[in-house]
Amino acid sequence: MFEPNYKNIVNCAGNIEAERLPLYEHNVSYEKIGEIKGVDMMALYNGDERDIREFFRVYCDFFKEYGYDVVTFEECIGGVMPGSGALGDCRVTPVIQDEDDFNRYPWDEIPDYYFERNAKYFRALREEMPEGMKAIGGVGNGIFECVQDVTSFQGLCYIAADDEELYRNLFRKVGETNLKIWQRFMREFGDIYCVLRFGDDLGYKTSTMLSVKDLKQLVLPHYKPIVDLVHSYHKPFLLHSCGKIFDVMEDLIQEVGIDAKHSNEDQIAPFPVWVEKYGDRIGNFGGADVDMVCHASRQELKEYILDIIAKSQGHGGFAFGTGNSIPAYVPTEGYLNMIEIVREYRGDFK
Amino acid sequence: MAIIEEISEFLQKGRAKNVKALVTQALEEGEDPKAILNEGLLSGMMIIGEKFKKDEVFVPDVLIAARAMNTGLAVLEPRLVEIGNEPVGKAVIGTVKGDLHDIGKNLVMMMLKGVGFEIHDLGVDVEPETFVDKAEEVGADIIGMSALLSTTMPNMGEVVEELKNRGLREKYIVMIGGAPVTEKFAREIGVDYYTPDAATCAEIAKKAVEERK
Repeated sequence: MFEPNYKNIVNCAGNIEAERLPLYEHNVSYEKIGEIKGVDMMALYNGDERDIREFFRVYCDFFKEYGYDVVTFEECIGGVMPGSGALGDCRVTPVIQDEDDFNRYPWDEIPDYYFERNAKYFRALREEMPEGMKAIGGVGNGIFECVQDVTSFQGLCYIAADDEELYRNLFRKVGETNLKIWQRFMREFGDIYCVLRFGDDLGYKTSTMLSVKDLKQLVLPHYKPIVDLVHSYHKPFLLHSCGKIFDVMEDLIQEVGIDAKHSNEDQIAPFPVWVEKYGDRIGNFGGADVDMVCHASRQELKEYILDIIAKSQGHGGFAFGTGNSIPAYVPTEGYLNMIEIVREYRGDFK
Repeated sequence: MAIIEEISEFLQKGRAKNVKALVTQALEEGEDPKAILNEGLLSGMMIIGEKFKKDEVFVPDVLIAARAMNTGLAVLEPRLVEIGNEPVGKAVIGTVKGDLHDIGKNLVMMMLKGVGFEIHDLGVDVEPETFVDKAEEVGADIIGMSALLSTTMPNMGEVVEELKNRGLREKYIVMIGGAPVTEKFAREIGVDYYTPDAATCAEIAKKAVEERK
């Protein structure tokens, strides 16, 4: 019988190959968990205090039942930033387009907004955490994503060309704001978590979203105080970042000090390539390209997963799951097949 | 430096105000509008496209160069209409149904514009029928589709099916791109071209249209 042990994931993040290969997802959509468990998770999540407790009972139980050692959970900053939304929906008019918008923006209020909205979720998560498990995640959205959420990517590029000072100030202000949120988060809720993480997609299929120079000078320096903060609590930091970001990996490892990294897509580089390149220095999380989970047959998926696992062994800590996350559109059958294949491999059903 | 060369140089730096001023000045000085377009604006954009393909510049450089190009084009277009300048071809572009992402699509549009295409932007979350209706309406040469998600990607095939159902498949050059899209997938759904990046897309689109003509 499977008994969760969060230390497996802590070992992976510390780049120690775990005795039992841990499963890991950046996120599993509430809709998907609801579909699998037969519960209207969104209604519970949006309900009263009792509903939220029930949400986390079901949510945590899902991860335990399906063989995870940790419960992945984050609440994003973007959602509480007034006028945000330009990151994920190009139809949203960016709330910050010039210096006046920037100066008017209620930066100082955002930490309060964050905890007013989210503290109840973290409290309920603490109450419902199963024995042997801890959470992974924390404060969602990194610096680059938060900036884009109020400027849009295209708007940010125009700001970079038109007002260099504003461009720099956006990253600085978001960095300061996010750090304040993280400071309070670690004080009040850090105990629930064994590995801390934010996601900041710095790249796409063929390159980084901004120039390597801008990422190194304007974005990454604001990661460091957050990573240092996490380390001051003697916990590892996992960065989730999509895209071809090889050109900034050295700085992420050497300067920022991340302990582990997640996200991979086969068209950029299969997971074993990341493991081969960085496995001697950081833990690697990920594995299966989401497209394979969506479209491959069970047999194809099994061969694919076992091949990745075989190639990834012997290079330090790694945790297996998709290279991204399980949004609602991923077919349930493919997702559960992936979990079952990994659990069969590690002998959970013997 | 000749004024047309200056236009190209400033465009590559994304200096929209300078490009606008120089195009205005060039027209006042009696420069040929076609030369301003081809050797100034489009040449500058092609250089940026090439650099982007070689990873020498980044997406923001392309976006601001394209904005500069559009600023110059706005000044130039009335004169181009007067002299009856024809575009290289016409392209109808959109992100497929269910998908709200537009950065890749916008880059492709800018690159196509940069090699002389007339662009009809359908936006995001576009129904298959809309691609075909618009292509028919404007007399397009190319239908271009973008997708970021694995699960919206199959909607590209629906556009192909819509074309087949109307007996129009051979009439259009169909091109696709986006993060999850592959050459294999392009072959499976029966489109003409998959390209891995916006600059390659513009290059192939121009060649494909020229070959057809």
